[in-house]
Amino acid sequence: MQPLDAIMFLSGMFTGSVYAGGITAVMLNIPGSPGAVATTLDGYPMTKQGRQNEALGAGLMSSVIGCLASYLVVFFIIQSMGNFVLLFQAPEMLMLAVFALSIISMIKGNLSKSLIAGFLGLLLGSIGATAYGRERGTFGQIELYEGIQIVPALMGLLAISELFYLVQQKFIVGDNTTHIQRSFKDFVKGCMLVIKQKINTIRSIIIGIFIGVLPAAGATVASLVSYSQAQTFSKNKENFGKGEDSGLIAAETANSSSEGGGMATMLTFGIPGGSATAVLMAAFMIHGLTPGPYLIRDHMDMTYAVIIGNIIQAFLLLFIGFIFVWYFSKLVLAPARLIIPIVAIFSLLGAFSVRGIYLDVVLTLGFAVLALVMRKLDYPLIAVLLGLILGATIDGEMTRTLLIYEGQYLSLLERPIFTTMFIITIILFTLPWVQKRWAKRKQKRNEGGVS
Amino acid sequence: MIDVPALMDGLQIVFSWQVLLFIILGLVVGVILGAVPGVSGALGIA
Repeated sequence: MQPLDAIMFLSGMFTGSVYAGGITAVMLNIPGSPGAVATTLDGYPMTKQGRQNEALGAGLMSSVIGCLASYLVVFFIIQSMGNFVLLFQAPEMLMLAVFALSIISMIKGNLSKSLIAGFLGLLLGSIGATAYGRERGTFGQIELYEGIQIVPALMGLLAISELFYLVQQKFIVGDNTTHIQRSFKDFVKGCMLVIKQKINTIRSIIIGIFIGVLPAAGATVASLVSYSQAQTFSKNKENFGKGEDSGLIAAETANSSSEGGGMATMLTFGIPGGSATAVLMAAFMIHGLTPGPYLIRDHMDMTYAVIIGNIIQAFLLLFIGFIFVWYFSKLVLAPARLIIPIVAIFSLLGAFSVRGIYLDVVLTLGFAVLALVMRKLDYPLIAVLLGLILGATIDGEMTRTLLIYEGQYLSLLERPIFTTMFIITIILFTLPWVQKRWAKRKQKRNEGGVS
Repeated sequence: MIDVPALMDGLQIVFSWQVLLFIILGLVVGVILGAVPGVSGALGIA
C-alpha cells in the first residue's frame, strides 16, 4: 500500500468516526465519542419528539460543512499558521478549560444544583495521580492511578441510565410509533437548517478550528464552547436542552471543524491535538513521513494531497453518511425490549474495551446508579460530565501555572489572551444570575405600575 | 501563500482511483466504528 493510500484510509476513518459519534448521540443518547456529548443535549430530545429525521439531517450537514470549511481554511493558512498556537501556554489552556466549564451556568434549571453537580464532576475528574506523582482519591486502586476514564462515565451516566427509563416505554419515542416514519423531506429540512443558520454555523466553524488548533483541547472542548456560545447568542435560550436545533448544529459543526484544526497543528508543528491525531501521526511516521516543519518544507506536495483528500472526504461523507443514517433512523421503530439489552451490552463492552479492565465496567454501573439518583433529584447529568471531562485538564494546567507564576500571580494579567478569556468567563458565569435578577426587578416594576 | 507547483503535484497524487477508493473505504469503516459506543476514532485507527 502506498503511503498516501494508507494515510487517506486512516484519515477517512477519523472523519467517519467523528461524524458517526453524533448519530448514536441523537438516536440513543449515547455519544459515540466524548466529542459528541454536547450533541446529546438537544439531539436526543429531538428524537424523543419524533424529529429524528430532522436531527440526523442537521447533524450530517453540520459535520460536512464543519469538516469542509476547516480543511479549506487549513489549506490557505497552513504555511503561515505561524506562532499563534505557541502563544497558548499553561495559563491560557487553563482559562480555555474554565471557559468551556462556563456552560454549567447556562444549563436550564436550578443554578445551585448545576454548580453542585459540576463540582462533583471536578472532584471525580481530579481522582488519580497528581502532577507531582502523588495518589489522590484512588483508595489504593492502581487502576485509578490514571484517573476515571471518560468512556465508562459516558456509558453509565448517559447510556445505561437512559435504559432505566426506556424500560417503561415500548419505543424510544414513546408507546405510539404510528406518526413516526422515515422522511426524506424532514431529512432535507434538517440539512437546510444548517444553511439557514448562517451565523450560528460560521461561529461554530471558527470556534471549532480555533480550539482544534490548540494542542490537547480537541473536539469535546470545541463542541461544548460552541454549544454555550450558541445558547448565549440565541433568542430561544430557554429551548436549549429541550430539542433546540441550533444547539445540535453548533455542537456538531464545531466537533467536525476541530478535526481540520487538529490536523493543521499535527502537520505543521508535529503536535497531535488529541488521541486520534496522535495515532494518525504514528501512522504518518510508519509510512516514512514525520509531521512537523520538515514535512511542510520537504513534502509540501504530500501535505497538500492530505488536505485536498480530506476536502474530498467531506463531500463523500454527505452521501455515505446519508445512506448510513437512512437505515439507522429505523432504530426508533425497534421495540425497546430489543434495544435495551443490545445497548447495555455494547455500553459495557465499550467501557471495557478502553483499557481492558473490569473496574471500568464496575465504574460504568456505579455512574448509572449515580445518574438515576441525580435524575430523581433533578440534578443535571451533563454538569457532572463536564466537570469530569475538563477536571483533569484544569488540574494539570493549574498546577503548571501555579508553579510558573509562584508568588507573582498578578503578572498573569499581563498576558492579553489570558486576561481577555478571564473576563469573558466571569461574564458568562454571572450572566444567568444577573439576567434572573434583572427579570425579577422588571417584573416587580411592572407589578408596581399595574397596582 | 500557496506553493503552486507543490499544489499541482498534490492534486496529481490525490486524484487517482486508488486514493479515492481508500478514502471511501476509510469513511465507511469509520462511520460503522464511530457508531459503536465506546469505539472512538483513535481506537479504530490504532
